[in-house]
Amino acid sequence: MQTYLLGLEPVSQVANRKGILELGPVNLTVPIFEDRMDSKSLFLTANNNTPYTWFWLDLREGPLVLEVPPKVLGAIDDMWYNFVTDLGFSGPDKGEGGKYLILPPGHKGDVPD
Amino acid sequence: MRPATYSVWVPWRSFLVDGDPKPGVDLVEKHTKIYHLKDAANPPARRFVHVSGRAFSTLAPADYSFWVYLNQVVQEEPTDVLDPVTLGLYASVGIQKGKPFSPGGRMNKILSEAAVVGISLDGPKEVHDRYRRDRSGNGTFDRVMRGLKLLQKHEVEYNVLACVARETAKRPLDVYRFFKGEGVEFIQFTPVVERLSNACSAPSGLRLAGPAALDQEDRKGDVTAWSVNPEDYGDFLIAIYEEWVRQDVGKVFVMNFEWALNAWIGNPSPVCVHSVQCGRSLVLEHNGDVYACDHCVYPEYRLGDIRTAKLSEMIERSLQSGFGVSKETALPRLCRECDVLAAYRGGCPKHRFMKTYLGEPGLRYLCPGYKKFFRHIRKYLRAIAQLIENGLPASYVMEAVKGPLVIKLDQVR
Repeated sequence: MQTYLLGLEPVSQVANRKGILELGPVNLTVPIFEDRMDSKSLFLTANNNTPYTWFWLDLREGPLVLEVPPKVLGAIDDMWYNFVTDLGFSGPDKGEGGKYLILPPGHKGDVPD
Repeated sequence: MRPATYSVWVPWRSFLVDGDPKPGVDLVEKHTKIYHLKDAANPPARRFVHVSGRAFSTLAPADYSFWVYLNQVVQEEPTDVLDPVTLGLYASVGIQKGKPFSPGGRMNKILSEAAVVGISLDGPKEVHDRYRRDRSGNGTFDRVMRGLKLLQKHEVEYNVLACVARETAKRPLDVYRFFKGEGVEFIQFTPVVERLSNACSAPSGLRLAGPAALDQEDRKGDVTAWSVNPEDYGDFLIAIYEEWVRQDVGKVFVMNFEWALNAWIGNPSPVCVHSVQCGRSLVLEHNGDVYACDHCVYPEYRLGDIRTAKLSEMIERSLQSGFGVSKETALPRLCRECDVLAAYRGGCPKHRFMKTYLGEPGLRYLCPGYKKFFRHIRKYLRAIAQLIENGLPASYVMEAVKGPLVIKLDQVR
């Protein structure tokens, strides 16, 4: 039972990634619920009154730059459902948008400013 | 940003301007960019996909593939950020970094069933809605049934968890036949036993009393009007067993009957209430509070806050306090010498608030009912155990009940 509960987060993330990657290749595809979400799309905890942008990134081929648009509210979570950072209004860009450099685990190379 | 895994998930919301989603979405499409650091000078085109109203799922599976998914993450991603308790528990089902995940037949079955959904349904509408109401006092039967149909439609494995309250116990066959009629295959009955709060528990604002003190005289209140009567609960289980053993063995699985058989053939119990000792299922509340057991979410059983204390230390503290161990050590003599001890094991300590006729505390409220049930089904358990021992299907017992069961010797393994 405890193992099941402790497995829920990563398993949920695999299912989340699987669903999203059906829409197109990772790092290139940006799904948007342009007119909000309804019950046809099966998601955990999503609301139906704000348009979601919802995608996955893969760092296996090196560091990625993510340019976040202004006026959004979001976050980055890892495969264990651990929080990495807030984005947008509650994040370092404070809702003005900004560039985020995302490094793979154990990255040792130079880190530009 | 330095995430701990190679795959990361990025969700954000944009906002409506005067009720219109478009301006926010336009900003997203204008400004969002994703590129490898090395391609910064020449970023590839990203593709925006509009997906409102599209039918697709991002929900976790509730079957064996749950474990395949978990194994995939453990193999693909660094596991150094996980605590040793979590890694140890993953390993306990055969999921370990760098090792193939290949559970055998029995483990495969256990893991498939472990990911099953539970649904609370007490019986037909009038039975269910008598006690199961929402905050505005309306019955919840229709909504629960909608959920049940949805699970059936999508072939999600589920287990019906049925509470047996005072009035429910008087209608065993109505309840059982209703479940069968609805195509339910897995049923677990839970007797309802609650006590009113009194001097001990009332000060904390709780309306119901906490668990019994096993080793001293218990001074808590009386059972509530909806608590099942002990003898009625025994009769309830017996009536259903009598029908099950004639018609449904191998088709309908009543967990309470499976546990009894399990105890009869000498296996350790898979369920806490009939185990020798208990206390292995902690509870985590929404605010971070951890409690020793889900039957014991009372101030005196709080172990700590998950945000500030370590899970392993809280478990240790719980065991050292004697919680769960006293289920065995505080059994009164009447229980220790009882002929159905192996099946019952004293039941849930929370409900051991009665005294034996010898004046010892620690007797379970439901004792008379369980004793009657276990004694009644002994003859069937004996027959089923014999069938299993000879490599024959347990369902043959249905023939045995009807008349003499003739088994040719060459049928026996």
